[in-house]
Amino acid sequence: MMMLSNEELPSLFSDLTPIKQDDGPNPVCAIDYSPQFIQAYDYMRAILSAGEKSERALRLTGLCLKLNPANYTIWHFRRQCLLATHINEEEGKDDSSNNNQQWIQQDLELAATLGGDNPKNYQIWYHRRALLESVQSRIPYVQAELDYVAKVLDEDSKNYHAWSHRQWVVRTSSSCQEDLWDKELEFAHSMIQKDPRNNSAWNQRWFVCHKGGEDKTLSLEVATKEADYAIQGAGLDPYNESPWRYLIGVIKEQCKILQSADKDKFLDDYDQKAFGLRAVLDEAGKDPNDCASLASARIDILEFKGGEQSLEKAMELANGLATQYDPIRKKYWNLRVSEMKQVLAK
Amino acid sequence: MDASRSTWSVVEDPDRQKRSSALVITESVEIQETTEGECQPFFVDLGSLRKHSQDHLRDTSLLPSEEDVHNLDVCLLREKHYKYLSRVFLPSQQPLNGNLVSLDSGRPWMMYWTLHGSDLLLVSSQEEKHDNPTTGATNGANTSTNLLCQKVGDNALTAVVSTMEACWQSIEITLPQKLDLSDQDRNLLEPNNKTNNNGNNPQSFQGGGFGGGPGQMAHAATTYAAVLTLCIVATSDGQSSSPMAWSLLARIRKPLYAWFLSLQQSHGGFRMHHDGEIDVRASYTIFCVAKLLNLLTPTLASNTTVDFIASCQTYEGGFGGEPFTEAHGGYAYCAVAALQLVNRLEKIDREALTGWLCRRQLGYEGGFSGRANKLVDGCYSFWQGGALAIVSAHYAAAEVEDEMDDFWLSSPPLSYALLFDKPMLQRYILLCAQDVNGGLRDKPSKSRDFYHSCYNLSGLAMTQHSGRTADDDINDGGDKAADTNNQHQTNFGHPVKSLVAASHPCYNIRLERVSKVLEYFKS
Repeated sequence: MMMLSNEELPSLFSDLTPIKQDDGPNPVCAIDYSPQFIQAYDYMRAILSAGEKSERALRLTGLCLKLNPANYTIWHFRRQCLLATHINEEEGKDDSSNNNQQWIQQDLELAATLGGDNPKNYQIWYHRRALLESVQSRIPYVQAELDYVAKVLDEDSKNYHAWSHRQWVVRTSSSCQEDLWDKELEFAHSMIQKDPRNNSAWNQRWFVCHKGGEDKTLSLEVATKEADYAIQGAGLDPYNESPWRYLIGVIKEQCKILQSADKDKFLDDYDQKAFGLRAVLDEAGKDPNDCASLASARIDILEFKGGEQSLEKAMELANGLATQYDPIRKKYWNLRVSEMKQVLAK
Repeated sequence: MDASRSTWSVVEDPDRQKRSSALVITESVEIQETTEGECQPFFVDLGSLRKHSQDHLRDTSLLPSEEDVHNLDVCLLREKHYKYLSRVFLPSQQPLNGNLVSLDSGRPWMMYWTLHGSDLLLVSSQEEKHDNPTTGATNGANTSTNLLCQKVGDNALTAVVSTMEACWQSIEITLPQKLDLSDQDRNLLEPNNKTNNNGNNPQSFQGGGFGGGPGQMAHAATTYAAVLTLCIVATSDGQSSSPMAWSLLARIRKPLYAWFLSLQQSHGGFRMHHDGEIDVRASYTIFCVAKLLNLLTPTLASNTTVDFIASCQTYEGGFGGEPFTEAHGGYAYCAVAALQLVNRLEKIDREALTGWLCRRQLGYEGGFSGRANKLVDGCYSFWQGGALAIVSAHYAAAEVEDEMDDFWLSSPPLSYALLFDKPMLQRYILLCAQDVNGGLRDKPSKSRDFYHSCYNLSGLAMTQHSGRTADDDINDGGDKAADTNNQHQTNFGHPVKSLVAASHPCYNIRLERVSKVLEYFKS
């Protein structure tokens, strides 16, 4: 389907009268639209007013969206036109399924093209979701979708919409494709390897391990694997916050479910492993006390452990952060100290 | 206080400004280091500048005149920012540049950012500061809410209302049969009596919302922006504009309610618009509008909707847009403010949230980032700063005996110590985010825009109005002996010339305006 051009409009819509935008009597924040924009949208208003969901209306939405890809109303209308003209929601017969596939594919490409310049646009991502939600079988699309997101992330590794979309694809397609979770874990790992400070990739790992909510908590076996993975990540560069908070997330979750003996052992293990990473800083010629992310994680672990000795140590670390090593968070560390004092007082 | 001492040195401990460290250089590390580098030139000790440099700063109004007692304290470029913002809503201005065409689906946003931004700036900077001996409140911050209309004009405000009205979209709403409507719900709904209503469908109602422009579908975000803007105009005592705004707000109450119900999903989230995305922004924007217009019913703010918001908290402690998506400042603000509006903040892991929020303040830049290992951005001064204001208030409220319905509107308002480094944030906003030609920006390498202007100023408001007390922190840190924890940090910036109005952290319009609107619709 060729992109419509402004020149074609008067002849294609010769039966319609273009409708001007009505901003009211004294419009404020008026935008200086280009003549092409005005012409296209004047015809769009006529089509909307007539309620016409046709092939030519579909083509017009393409032009209007090129002019403003953020116009969510036109995206919605486009979907309505697709359903009215080409996409059969009831895929009973083989040829209707193929027919749908062609049109869905085309629109996925359109969304990708329009997204090109601004991958932060909500509408292009929602359009993909809406298109995929309209098909009976997701299978033909899943890999291409994941490839597309990977491509976007190649350009912009932390694109929020891209990661969210990936989560949605995996979560809603996992029932029809067995190895999706495993593959996604690999993907998250590869993104972490590319840049261990890619917090989105770490977040994705958490999502995968919990199967998007199917698993409320990790088993001890998996939690240990994940905690070790985080320690390894932190060991590469202890100044990197991402692996530390991942570690604390895993530990915190386990503390809620483990029996007391298992819990104590788990906490002791990671207390030691965290402390052990001070050596990495020593070897690099840095003062290990100066690494706020490391100290912060140790404080959390010690607080989970509880008891006088651990809390005294945690308070000592927190005071060090407040006064010397993480002064911008002085207020916060003072708050933590006072909370721990209160616990000790009881 | 020594008049020549720069308040830059009020950032007491220069070591508080720490550059980030890394053992391994990655792409994230590189851009972080670049960002610190682009801020560095702005963090100059003003007192150590040569005279001609200082004079240059005085010429741009970043510093006040030499005669000023605080002549080395940084100022807000009030008039320049106002001139930049008011272009949008003052009549007989040129239409906005065609490059802004993407905002064609966000015109209520443009109106809100610029009108609210202007509203925050309209604090008298000429007046002598008068301390109220009883409450310690400062007059300069309590300028009458009429100032906006006086400055902008009734005609401009009327034009704002009529443009907003052109963005209203009426819709027929049919609610699902299985949806159990209470009597309270039905009182807030206007039945659809049209003849195309299939034989008296009791679930068919008149609905509506504001879209991004004339003829555009109702959208939760633009509805939020529109209603906040109308609240600003309604409470401005404009002769023609205010009654028009009140009237419009009153007329849209019931249609909005029907439309909100139609957006509600069974799992507790809301869509942003029909056939649109579901995320926590919708929960916030809808709760906020509903609360202002007295529509926040148990149906709308059900346990399920609260649980949905809470389920967006991640292992990091912040909130994503949907469950399991990455913790992000914009969504964190929406979650926190939404829960605060319905007084259900206890539903979440507050300790985890506090830690995540505090970690978002960058040690060198002083401003906030939106996510871990991402860059500082002036707009997060509000999203993160505002969320922290709400959280900080909770810690203080725990110490206070009285139960408060609204920490900021109670009499006297709650006084709370902000849990983040206030002067460092102020410093970032005043030194790095201000464009010397007017307007504010993300960071020095980015251009100014209306969105960043609004949220930098709103963030500044969060730092300046956490409850004034007798040992006011404007002068010199107050009575240090009494304040042993240095809980009320000294402000950065000129005590009068960097002042903005007090904005409510949950609604982000001025406190007095929130009060008046809540009062109006209570009846």
